[in-house]
Amino acid sequence: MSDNTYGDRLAIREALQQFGRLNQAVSDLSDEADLFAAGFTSHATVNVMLAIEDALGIEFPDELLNRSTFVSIDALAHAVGMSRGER
Amino acid sequence: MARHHGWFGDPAIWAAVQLPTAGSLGVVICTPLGQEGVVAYRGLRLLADQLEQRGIASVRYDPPGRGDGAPSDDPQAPVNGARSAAALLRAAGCTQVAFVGLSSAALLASAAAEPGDLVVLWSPPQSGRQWLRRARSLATIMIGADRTFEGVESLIGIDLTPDQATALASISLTLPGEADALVVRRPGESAPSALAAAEQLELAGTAEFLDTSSVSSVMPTEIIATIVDWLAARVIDSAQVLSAPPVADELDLGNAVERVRWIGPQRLFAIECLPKAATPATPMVVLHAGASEHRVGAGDYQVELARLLAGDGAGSLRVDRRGAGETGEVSADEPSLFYTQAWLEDQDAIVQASGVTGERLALTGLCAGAWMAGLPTAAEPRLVVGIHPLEYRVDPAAPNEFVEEVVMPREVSGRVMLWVQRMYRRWAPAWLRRLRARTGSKADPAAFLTGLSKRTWRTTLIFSEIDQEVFRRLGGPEISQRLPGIVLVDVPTIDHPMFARRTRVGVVERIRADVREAFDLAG
Repeated sequence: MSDNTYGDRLAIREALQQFGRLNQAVSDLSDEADLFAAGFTSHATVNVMLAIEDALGIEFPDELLNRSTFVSIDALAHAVGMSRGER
Repeated sequence: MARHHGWFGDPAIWAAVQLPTAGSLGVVICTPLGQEGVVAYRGLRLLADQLEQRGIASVRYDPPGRGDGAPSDDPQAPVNGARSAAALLRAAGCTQVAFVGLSSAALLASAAAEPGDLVVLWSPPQSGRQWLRRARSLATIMIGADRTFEGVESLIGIDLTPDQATALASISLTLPGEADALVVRRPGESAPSALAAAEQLELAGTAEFLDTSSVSSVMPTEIIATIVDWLAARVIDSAQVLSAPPVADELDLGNAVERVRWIGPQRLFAIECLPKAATPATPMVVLHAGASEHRVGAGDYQVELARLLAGDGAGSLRVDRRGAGETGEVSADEPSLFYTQAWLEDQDAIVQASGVTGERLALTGLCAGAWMAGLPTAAEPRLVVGIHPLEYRVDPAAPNEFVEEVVMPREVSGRVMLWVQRMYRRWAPAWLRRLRARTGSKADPAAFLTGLSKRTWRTTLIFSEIDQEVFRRLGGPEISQRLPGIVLVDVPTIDHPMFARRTRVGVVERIRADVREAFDLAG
């Protein structure tokens, strides 16, 4: 795992802990766990997205604003990469 | 203490003014934009009630172009509406003014306040631009990327023209000179740097109050008490004499007139919209909002519909049933009345107040409102239009029984089970269906639909994708085929709550067409 990826996932987990309003601790969730099954809501996805953007200095493009972007920590990390123009 | 409801200014705001017998301070409670304003309605009423109990006047309002305000597409109307509300309080005798703004309304409060005013900003965004980005992101996630229709952009519960979006995005949160200000932040939320001079508090409860539906919203009692205490400590003259505010109880719309009405023994708050040329034969359309939402409906569609219907020659009543809007008292622990007998009694009162016989009556409603419209009431309506129905029970629920979640009926598979299902849907007696409805998670729609077919000349049921799927799994289409007067309209949209203008325009036009046909109106 690159430093970038590690840092991204840390920021994602912190944003989820702060704004995700999940029904279980983020530390108990694997990177693949379904966040919607853990109580993630539409409002919370946006709050988490804005926190990630602030923390990492990126902006999610509109085409990533759909449910599949927010389904797991893995998916969010992939979206962060896409937002930086990484494939 | 007195409460006054009506219109003020030109173009008019709709205003709810609460006045104590005396007191110098009046608080403009700015209405959050879009669905935030709908979800926060009862909580902001609780704030107004608690201010009144402490000798502080308040006004809650819809600016021109929103809610029950007069029509307007002026991009400055949201901020000018807040200033107009302040003028109303001053006209009632208030010599001190405070602006309270929750979330998007913090932008309006900040922009409307003048030097010397008190300001309370509750969970403010960083700026207008940041609020718009958040709102657009939420809308794209909830209703899809294709959110612009006829040049108007749909956010959640609010449509914006490009000029309106630009005006909101240009607001930067600042405090007017010498303003005494309080900022209430969510845990972890940072306040804009321009608000550094304000007193800052971090309190929990905003997310549970605002980031949810009207059904699941939890009253933020600690935050409300904190704001009330902060404002009460700043009252200069508790003996300042106040007089009735100059609100009009009618709004002249040119071809129609809107009036405030209080209906039935529960004093349900309502706004009646009548064509100016109305006669005793003018048909009346009852508009039921969805969920626990107040009379304006999602994206104000009930207001738009009421005014268009008046142009077509039909009157309407849009009403706050118990537990919603201006009706009744507000408390932090008020029971959920979803699908209860209380709502059906409210509908009876509304139908009686409509002043027409069933032959001149139409009932419409969204989701939970469609359930009400579909059940027997004080008169047999000629027309029922149910929008995005999800519930078909004919026995009311007990208070607090309803839990907000869409329960998708189980799909049956296998030849034998499919045969049993087919036979059940075709032949099961009413008593068996009712028993199954009581014990199962989702009511059989047969009794509901059969009753509608018998009582109405026509019933139109409009489905979005999710409610169409529920209806299909319950066997609704097959049952409807055998019943005269039931018309099913499937709309290919995921927009059950009607947040998108495209959805609302389709629904509004369908209702208008049905009303014109049912009552032989020229349109």
